[in-house]
Amino acid sequence: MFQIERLQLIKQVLREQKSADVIGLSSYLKVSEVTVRRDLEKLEAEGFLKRTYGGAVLNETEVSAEKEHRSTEERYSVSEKSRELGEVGAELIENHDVVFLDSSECSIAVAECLRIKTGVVVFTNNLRVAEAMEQDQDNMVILIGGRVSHRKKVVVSSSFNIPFPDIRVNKAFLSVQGVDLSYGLTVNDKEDAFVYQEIVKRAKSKVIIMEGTVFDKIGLIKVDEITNLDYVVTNGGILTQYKKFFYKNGVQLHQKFSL
Amino acid sequence: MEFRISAVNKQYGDHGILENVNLTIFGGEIHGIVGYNGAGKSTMAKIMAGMIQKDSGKLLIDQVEMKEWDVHRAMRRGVFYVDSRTTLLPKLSVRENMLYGLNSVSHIWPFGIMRNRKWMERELDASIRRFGLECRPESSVGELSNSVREVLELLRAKMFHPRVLLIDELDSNVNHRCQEIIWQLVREMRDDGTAIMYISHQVNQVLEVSDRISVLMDAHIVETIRNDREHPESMFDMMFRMVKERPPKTIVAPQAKLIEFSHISNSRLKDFSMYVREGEIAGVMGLEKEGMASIESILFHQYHKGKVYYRESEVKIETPKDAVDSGIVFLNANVMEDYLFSGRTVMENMLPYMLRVKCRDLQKQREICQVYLDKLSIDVAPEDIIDHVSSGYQKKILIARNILAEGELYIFNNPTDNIDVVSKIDIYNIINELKRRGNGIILVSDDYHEIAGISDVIIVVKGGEIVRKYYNFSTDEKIMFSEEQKNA
Repeated sequence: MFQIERLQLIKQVLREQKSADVIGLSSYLKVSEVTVRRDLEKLEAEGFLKRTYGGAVLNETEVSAEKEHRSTEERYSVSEKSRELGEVGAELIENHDVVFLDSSECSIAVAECLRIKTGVVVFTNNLRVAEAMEQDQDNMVILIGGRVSHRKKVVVSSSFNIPFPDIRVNKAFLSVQGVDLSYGLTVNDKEDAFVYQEIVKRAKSKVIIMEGTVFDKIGLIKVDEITNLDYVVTNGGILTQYKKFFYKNGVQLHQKFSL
Repeated sequence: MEFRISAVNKQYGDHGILENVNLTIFGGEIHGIVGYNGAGKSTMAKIMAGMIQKDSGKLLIDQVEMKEWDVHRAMRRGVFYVDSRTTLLPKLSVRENMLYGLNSVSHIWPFGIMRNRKWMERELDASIRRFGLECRPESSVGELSNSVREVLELLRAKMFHPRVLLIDELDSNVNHRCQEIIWQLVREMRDDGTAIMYISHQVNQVLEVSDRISVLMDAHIVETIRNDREHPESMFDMMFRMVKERPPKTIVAPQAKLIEFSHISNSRLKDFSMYVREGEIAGVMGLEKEGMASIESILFHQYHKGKVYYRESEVKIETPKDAVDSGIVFLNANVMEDYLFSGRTVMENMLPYMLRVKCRDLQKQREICQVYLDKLSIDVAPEDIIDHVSSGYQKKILIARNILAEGELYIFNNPTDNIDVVSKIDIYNIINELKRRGNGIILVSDDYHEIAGISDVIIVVKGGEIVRKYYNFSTDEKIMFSEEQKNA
């Protein structure tokens, strides 16, 4: 059966019995223990359970909150591509790190993956990021100020002359819509450009999330050169010459391989 | 004496192995060349020796351009090449080997001093005595140890009184005493005025003996520096900083212990102990590629003392099947000889036996193969013959085979040796993905940068003992070189 079916079965077992062990699940589901562990990891990342030595226990608070949440509002779900990039990006974050997450969908995915970390401080202008971290009691989210754009679900500060807050972050997660060897990094939204330029002055390192479709594309507003990047998170669509270029220019290149 | 290569280029297919390489070596100087395996050091030396033809560029001796260059012309000009593939004939005696060929060479290479057979024999006997070599002139070369054979190779080159000597990785499998003899011979030749190029990927060897050092990286000479013996840490630092490449490092919380080696000892190893957990990469530096001091012999029970535990229970792993049954997947460095079925297709090489028995349908097999070719960015077709595929792709195909074996612990022995940059990055990211999925990985490598770049735990082995163990649970790099030198 597919993972999704297994996950439902595991959830059912945990709801009824409150705990389960890997060996038991492995024979119940008729899959290898390695596979069961992978499934448990996924459910842990979703906040449904907490893994223990040899098994898992139900995450009581999460389950009741989940039930409530489902009845009140349609949770925003990120696309598979963004989720993959978000998972990889989240792995660059250490416990007690201070990061900035931007207005993109990938940032939401990153936020969702922070559940297994503790003490992380997230600065963001993305309302959906704040939403995704609603149940997260171990990490903190701080929304930076400005006018709320309900359509874009972000906070906008450039057009109101509200100064960008004097914060300092360790890593800034930023998405772009265009990456070109001559024209550099580009975005299509004026507000995104403003945020990019402001946050990089206040960030120790920048993590640029580049979805496969952005390579050799040129967006409306240039925000950065293609050199001097610290981390790049990408997926299978990255072109070979960019891979080579980034690696040779001192960038830690993280690419999601789904095996 | 000045031997210069200028703007030399060499390509293999679309892989530019040397791009605009410029280098000058001078008589009376030992010039060390370092770089990773596959960086092009051997290719450069072989071009200089006339063994391979360059695609473009110039070769100049004493500022005169050598418009045509091959081995004969090279030897005529006193340019000789030595590497670890011994050219001594095993069935002949030491004396016969050392003297053969001299006669045919003597009339084309005008030796500075008159040579004759008796003189050579006396030289040979004297050298053997002087260095205390464990051989007699009458011994058959086949009986001698590898280390002694390599010394003799060098000794023979010395007897030709070369003007230029290109030494390519002569220190990999040589015991300590013979290593010292080799260095002494090299220094004597330098003092005689020979221009010596000393190539090795073992940085500390090069630092020991060189006067100047050049780093070959990215298909060209990145920098040439004087060897500062007073401050070896600054040398290491400088070389580490010259390398801009940063392998991707991820953070995953490790879980239960997978494998534990406990006090393993054999004739070459002393008290080797380490463990690897789920979601952890353990990088091990300083083991040998094969033999008693390799990860292979640690795993496959070739030891006198010690135990191996898998998931906390003791195991005895004697055959590859034992390993696979435990959930251990092992990928050694000698890809072609050990793992690939030459003459067969990519598909036949990728799908492990078990899979092909379970799934006899060729169409289904092809689909599975294509899925993994796509997943790992391998740009070949399932029907391509494996021998024609690049080494980077061959490695990835084997990694696909390993992944299909669904192991829990992956042991990679020098996985990125001799492969192109893009495949290297892909392999790092694939290893990270395996880590993410809760697998444990042991990465054995000589590449400082690689180990420091992606490992969570770094273990440094020297002389068969673990000398340093440290943890790297953050995304920033640690400078490792200076640590190793301190323990030298």
